[in-house]
Amino acid sequence: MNCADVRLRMIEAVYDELPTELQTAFDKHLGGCAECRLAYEQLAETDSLLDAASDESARVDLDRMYRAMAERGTRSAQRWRRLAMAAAALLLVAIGLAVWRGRVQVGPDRLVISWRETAAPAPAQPPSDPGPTLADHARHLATLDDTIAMLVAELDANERQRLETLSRLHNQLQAFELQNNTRINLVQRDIHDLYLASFPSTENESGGQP
Amino acid sequence: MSPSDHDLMLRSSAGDARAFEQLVRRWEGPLARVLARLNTNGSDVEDLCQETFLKVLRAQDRYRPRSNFSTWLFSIGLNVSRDAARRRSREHEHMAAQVQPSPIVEPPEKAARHELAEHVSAALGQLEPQLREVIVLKHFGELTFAQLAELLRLPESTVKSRAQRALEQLRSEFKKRGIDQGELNP
Repeated sequence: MNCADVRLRMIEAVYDELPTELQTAFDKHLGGCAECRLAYEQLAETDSLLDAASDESARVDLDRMYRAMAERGTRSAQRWRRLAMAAAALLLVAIGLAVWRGRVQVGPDRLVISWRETAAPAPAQPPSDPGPTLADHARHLATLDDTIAMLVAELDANERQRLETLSRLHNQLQAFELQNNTRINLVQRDIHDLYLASFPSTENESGGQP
Repeated sequence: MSPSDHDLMLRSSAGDARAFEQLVRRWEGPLARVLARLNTNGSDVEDLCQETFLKVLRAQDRYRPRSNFSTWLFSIGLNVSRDAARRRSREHEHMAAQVQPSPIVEPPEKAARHELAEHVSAALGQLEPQLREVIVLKHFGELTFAQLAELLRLPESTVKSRAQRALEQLRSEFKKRGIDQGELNP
């Protein structure tokens, strides 16, 4: 290994990640090159100084975490429900527009709402384009009906999935609570034993009521 | 023999709350150390840990043991830390002066350990985020360069050169602050 090789692999040496055979060559080079040895020692020293950073600790609150998870699940379900209602409302408007064949006329002193069939005079000749028939409307309605049924089925599936998640979380929360209660009981028993061990005479005098 | 992280994750995703708790207790300390050093803008480390494990819980069904659990956990923690940094910089853009490191002060001969820790934190805060992420995950997360490259989605050579640059810049920062190895073992 020459100086350039050593400089290239120096960071791996600092973190003990050099393969054994390279580490041997690396050490050999440092033994004979004061400049590289100094560079290596400075880098390793800087790394060890990082240990002086304060030792942070954290205690994760699992109970709070499960609650947050359940709340997010509920919020998500509510969002889906609102979306479904909005979609249904839009579909109803679309159906209304498809079926609506009326005409609205706004005059200076009156508002006229009339059906096209009654307002339009009967044509003397058969119309070239008779427009949508009742059968067409029925077909459209059937299609819309199918679409709504599909949407509802999809929403039901989503809702079921969310309920399953919530139920699983609920079970986890219960298990956690049970575990906590067991721990509390153990601690209470320990405190009681400790009290008895510390004040045996009080125990006798008070008839076992600490 | 204690169960592996992978086993605990599998049991947790099957609904075993105790397995998840075991995993949390095993990793909350190392995660806190990494998040505290990544996050130099004052976000609460405990909140960041909480948020990270909440994301782990939500993503546990999608967990695949392609890499170490720690690599996966730290990558989630890194994203949580980056999000928090973005939120805080939006909230406190006009207060930037407050998050600047303290002015250079020569530490007294027998500096208290917490004062030294503050200097180290401030020096880390001086690094560019991309250098800080590498050195913090390497030193405090104890990941290998290969794991770091996978986590950061960078070539291994880039990760190594960033780690070296980070140490060199830290050295110069420590020098400015009058900190040397003697501070650790007075």
